[in-house]
Formats: sequence, C-alpha cells, structure tokens
Amino acid sequence: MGLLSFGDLGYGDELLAGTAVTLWLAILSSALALAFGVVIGIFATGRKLLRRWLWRSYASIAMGVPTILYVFFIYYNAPIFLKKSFDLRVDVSPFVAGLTALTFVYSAYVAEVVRGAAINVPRGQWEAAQVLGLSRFTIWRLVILPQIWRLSVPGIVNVWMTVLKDTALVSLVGLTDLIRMAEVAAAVSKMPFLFFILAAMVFIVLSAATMFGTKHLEAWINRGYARAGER
Amino acid sequence: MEFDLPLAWRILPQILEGTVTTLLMIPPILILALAISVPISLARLSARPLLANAAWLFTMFFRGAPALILLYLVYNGMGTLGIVRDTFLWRVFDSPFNCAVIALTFNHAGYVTEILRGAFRTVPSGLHDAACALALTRPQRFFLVVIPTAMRLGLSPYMNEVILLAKTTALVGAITVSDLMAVANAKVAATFDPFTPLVMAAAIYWSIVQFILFGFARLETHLNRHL
Repeated sequence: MGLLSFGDLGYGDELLAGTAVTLWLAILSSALALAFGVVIGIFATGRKLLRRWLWRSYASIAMGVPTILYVFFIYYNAPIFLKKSFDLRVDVSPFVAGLTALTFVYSAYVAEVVRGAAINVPRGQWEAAQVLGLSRFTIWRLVILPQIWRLSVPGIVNVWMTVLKDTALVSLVGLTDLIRMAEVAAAVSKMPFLFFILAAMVFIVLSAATMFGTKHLEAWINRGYARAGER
Repeated sequence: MEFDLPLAWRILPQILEGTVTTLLMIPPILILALAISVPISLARLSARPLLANAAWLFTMFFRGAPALILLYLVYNGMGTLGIVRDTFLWRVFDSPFNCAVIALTFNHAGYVTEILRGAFRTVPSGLHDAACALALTRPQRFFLVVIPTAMRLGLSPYMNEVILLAKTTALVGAITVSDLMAVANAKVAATFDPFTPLVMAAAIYWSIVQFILFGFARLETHLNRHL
C-alpha cells in the first residue's frame, strides 16, 4: 500500500487534493445551479406565452446537448468572447469553464424540479392569493415556496448527485481533479485497477453519504406530514 | 466567433462520420443493458438476501461511479490482465469502440435496473391475483402480465435514461473513439475555429435527443392505445 501513502513516494496526498477539487467544484456548481434554478423555475411557471417559449428553448438546449460539449465550448470560446465584447484579456481556467457549464446545464434541471412542484399547487390557492391582492413576488414567498420546497428536496438531491458525477468530465479540459490524479497515478504505476476503482469508490461513498443524509433530512422535513400508506 | 458556413460545409463529411460512430454505439448498448438489467432487477426483488444484496451492490457501483471512470477502467484496466491479453478476449478489448460499448453498457444497466425494479414493484397486486385466478403459469404471468404492464409504467424514466446515455457517449473520445464529440474537437484544433465545429456537434446531439423524445412519444401512444 506504499502507493497510497502520503508524501513524495505515494499518491495519497495527490488523490486527496484531487478529491477536494472535485468536491469544491461540485458544491459550487450545485449552489449556483440551485440559486439560478429557483429563479428560472419561478420565471418558467408563468402562463405568458413568451415566458413559456423562452423556458422551453432554454430547457431544450441545456438538456439536449452533452455537458462535456458545453465545457469544451466555454473553455475555447469564453476568452475570445470576453476579448471581443469587453476587451478583457483573461484566461478561463478549466475550473471556471467547468463551473460555468455545469451551472448552465443544471440550473435547467433545478428549474424543472421547482416548476414541476409549483404547477401541482392547486389552482385555487393561486386564485385565492390573487384575490387577496398579493403581488406575484409575495404569492411565491408566502404561499407557493413554503409548500413546495419540501417536495423539491428529492429532485434537488438528484441534481446534486448528477453534478457530482459530471464534475468528472471537467478533467478532459485539464482540471486536476480526482479523475485526473487517478489517471496519472494509474499510468505511472501501471496499476489502473487500483487507482480507478479507488476513485470510483470515492464517488460511491460520497453518493452513499448523500443518500444516507437525505433519508434523515427527508424524515425531518416531513415530520409534520403523514403520507398515504404509512399507517 | 461566428458560424463559418463554408468551413462547416468542408468539415461536414467528417462530422457526419463521427455522428455515425456515435449512432452505431447506442443500439448495442441499449440491447446489452436491457439483457443484463432484467435478471438483475429480478434478483434485486428476490427474497434471497444473497441474490438481492449482490444485485444491490451492482447497481450501487455502476450508478455511483462516473461513466468516465468506467471507460478508463475498461480501456486501461482490462488490457493489463493476463487472462484478457492471452485469450480471445483480447480481440474484444483491443478495440476502443468495444471498450466504450462495454463500459457504457454497465453504466446504463445500473440505471435501467433501478427503473425496472421500480416498474416491477408498481405492477398492481390485483393484476397478479387476477392472473393467478385465471390459472396462468408463473412464466405466463411474468411474460403476459407483469412485463407488458411494467413496460408502460417504466417507459418515461427509461426514456430519460436513453437520453442520458446518448449524451454520455460524448465522453468516449477520452478513450480514443472518434465519435461526434471527438471529431468536432479535432476540427477545432485543425481549423483554429473553436465555434463552428462545436455548434455543428451541438446541433446534431440536440437532434438525436429530439428524435429519441419523438420516438418514445410514439411508443407511448402505441403501448397505451387501449387505455
């Protein structure tokens, strides 16, 4: 197990650093996707034709093209775009390209979850809130969101797990994440099974921890509600 | 950063070649994954703990690990095993295309197993009782009652997985398969135009996904025609 030791002789510290990069990217992308996704979801729930059309186009483009294509696209094009439009000379790092791509794609998935929950709120509640003269913003804040956030938790946890796994592909534009580190270690040591299975185990343990945490979280947030079929 | 139409026309043949590789990869994965998932999802529902736990472990591993790791594992890993190198198996693992199909099959099968399990479980127990009352044998109950019902129940989540698979194939360039994504990337490097080839690839992937959506919508009307 010398190969996994920390320090100059083993890959332990490199793999740990890679895991930190992977986790950091996953957490940041998910947080941004959650923030944008909720806003977009609220926007998309409107019944105006233009809104629905805008939402449909965005959702179709974000969900209908592989995430890796967005990563490559942003990584290659963002510096040119920033130079031309704002005369900014900046390097777009793999991390930033990955973060942008993941946020763009997964905001759509979060928005879909929020929208799906919101359109299932009975029509009468929307009408009642409108009759009371509440503004759109107030209706969301006081009537809709307090009801749907509970229902959205499983969907949003799903998005987190997918984002976590999708961070893997940012290694293809050169991010030194867990996958990249495992690849280097596997190539140098000629022990691909050890390192790739180890990397896979890290992802699996993280998903298992999420599932375990979610079970408790869901039990807690639903503590005041009885579901049909449970006693 | 603008769409260069003459350039697009010039690289179109190679882009289409990449598209063909991508499209050729999908059907074998779908078929192999279904063949693997049906028995494993039944094992998952089995009353025998050993069988159920082994099936659970299977889904846990292949759903939890990113597809990219599975690709590396098959492509870089299998060749180091003596049993693969020295037998006919080498003919299989020698080609990156085959490695990609195998890795993505297991990835896809992990998800399909869970969908099938859910679908089998939601088949109403009344249907099962009714089939027993009609004196159908066990295989008859399974093939004539459970499978057709489960197919309708699991169709929509299965469609999502097929779309996810179509998008996941874009990763196979990492193990040197010249699929659509890999060709587009090669064209970016060769033409110094980072925009046109990628937009073409995006449009083609989008069309593939729309085609899958359309196909499943047709299939759904067909399966639910008598409801």
